[in-house]
Amino acid sequence: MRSSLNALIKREISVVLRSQSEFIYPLAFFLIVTSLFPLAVTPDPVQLAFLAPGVIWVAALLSILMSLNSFYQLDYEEGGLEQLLLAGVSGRDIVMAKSIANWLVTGLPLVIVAPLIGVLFDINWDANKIAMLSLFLGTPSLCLIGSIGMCLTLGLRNGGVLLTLLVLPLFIPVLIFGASAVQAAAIGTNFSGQLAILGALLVLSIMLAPFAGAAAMKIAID
Amino acid sequence: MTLYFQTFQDFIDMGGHGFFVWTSYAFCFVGLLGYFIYSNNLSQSNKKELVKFYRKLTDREQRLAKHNHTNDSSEVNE
Amino acid sequence: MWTWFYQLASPKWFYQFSTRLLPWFRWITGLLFLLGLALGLLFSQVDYQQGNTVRILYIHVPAAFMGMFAYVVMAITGAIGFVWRIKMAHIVSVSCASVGALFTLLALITGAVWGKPTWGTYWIWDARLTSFLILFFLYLGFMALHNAFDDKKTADRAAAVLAIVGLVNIPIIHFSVEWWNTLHQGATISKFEKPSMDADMLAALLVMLAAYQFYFLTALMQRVRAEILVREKLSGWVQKLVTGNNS
Repeated sequence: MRSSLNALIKREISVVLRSQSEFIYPLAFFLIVTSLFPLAVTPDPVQLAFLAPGVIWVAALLSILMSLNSFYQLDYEEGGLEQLLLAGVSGRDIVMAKSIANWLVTGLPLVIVAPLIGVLFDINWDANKIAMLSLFLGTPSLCLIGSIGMCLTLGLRNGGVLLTLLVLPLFIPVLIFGASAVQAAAIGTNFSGQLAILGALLVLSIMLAPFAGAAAMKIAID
Repeated sequence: MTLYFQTFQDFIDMGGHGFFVWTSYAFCFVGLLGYFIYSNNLSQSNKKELVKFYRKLTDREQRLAKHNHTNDSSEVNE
Repeated sequence: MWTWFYQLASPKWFYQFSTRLLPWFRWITGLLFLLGLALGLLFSQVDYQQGNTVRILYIHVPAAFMGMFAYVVMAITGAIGFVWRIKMAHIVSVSCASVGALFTLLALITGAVWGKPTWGTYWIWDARLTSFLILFFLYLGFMALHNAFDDKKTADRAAAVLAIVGLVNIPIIHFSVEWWNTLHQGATISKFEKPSMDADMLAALLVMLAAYQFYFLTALMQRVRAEILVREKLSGWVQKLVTGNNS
């Protein structure tokens, strides 16, 4: 069981890395979107520091949303998914493996790059650490929830826009607690509650999302 | 059970909040009535569509039958 | 009991049964609305704090409740259809979506209009309004997903999964929005608290709630009937019903 999941994760990563540069896009998107805000709102450091938690979280959320497609669409179109299911691999394992691979390829780089954005937005080091930690706890949930939406829209003509519509409302709890943890850290109040809830959301999505994703995947393949 | 408002003018005015009260009631009225009529008409329009659909279906069946029939007769002639 | 359940699951039986039921439901809905409006607009006293704006609540609160209720019905019937592959359950589930979206939209609009004299602004990021905005998005997502598939069976099943995922998420979303709201606005806005309810106000509210409930059933039935016609077009009884002959 463990080894098959490992093999699946390796497969997913190799599939995505094969299309060389595509996994860089979400990261680049994250950097560009966040750097648009000072241009659109104000270069004033005080206000930027105030905006930063929200900006970082919204941008991270959109990057994850963008990255989902490359893990599913091609695999579905080339028939790889169907083969896996026919070979008796459970849909839950596939969704889990894809989400883990997705997080390793997209989520983890976001966590690593986040302090850089924090520096650009002039937030203090404590808030920066919490930004990393909250992204570390929150982005896996986003990958898992997103995979449900992705499985539902597999094979649809304009699935991309639809995916946004389906998934963004479900992202809201993660967004609220993630951004608020960073905000709390920035003004020096207690943030452990928010992080605990992010952790709880992660556990919940690990338990439930693979079921929903597998059910949706089966519908698309049948 | 007593009427709350003394005059019709009071009723329209709603203690100065008439605009808000009547706007929201108007929205609800239009929304609910509109949807009621829409969902009621849906059956009718679907029935009309289906009439066309069945006409096409029977037309095709008849054409097919005719086609088969001419084929049969030609075979007989040969 | 079980035979009744099986009959309910048959589109033909439901269509014929609802043909008899529908006029009754329409009359009951209309009468309840008339009674509710009379009680709410003419006879009920007003809250001393909110004045006559409290009358908006007679149409706002039931709309909000029904918006939630319709989502629960949609998700549960969707789940029933998904697990036991009952066609009728899917038809009901799909038909719930647009009625529920209408209720949610009305709750949002009336809430905003109520907010203007109460808060001084049409929109406020109040926990309840925000939750309902998100609920409205969930409805939109459900309808968009169902429309995106060409095959109705696939659409039904996919939409059912989404509805169940949404149902699991609604409490979480609601909780997080409440939490977020208290964090950011504290106690400055507590005007959505229940006005002191007199018996006549409560009566008006309950009658309106019943009226909305019956409206929901009536509109749902009408939509379900229209949906049945389209989906069962290849079965003999629909053709007989529509064309009036048995060819």
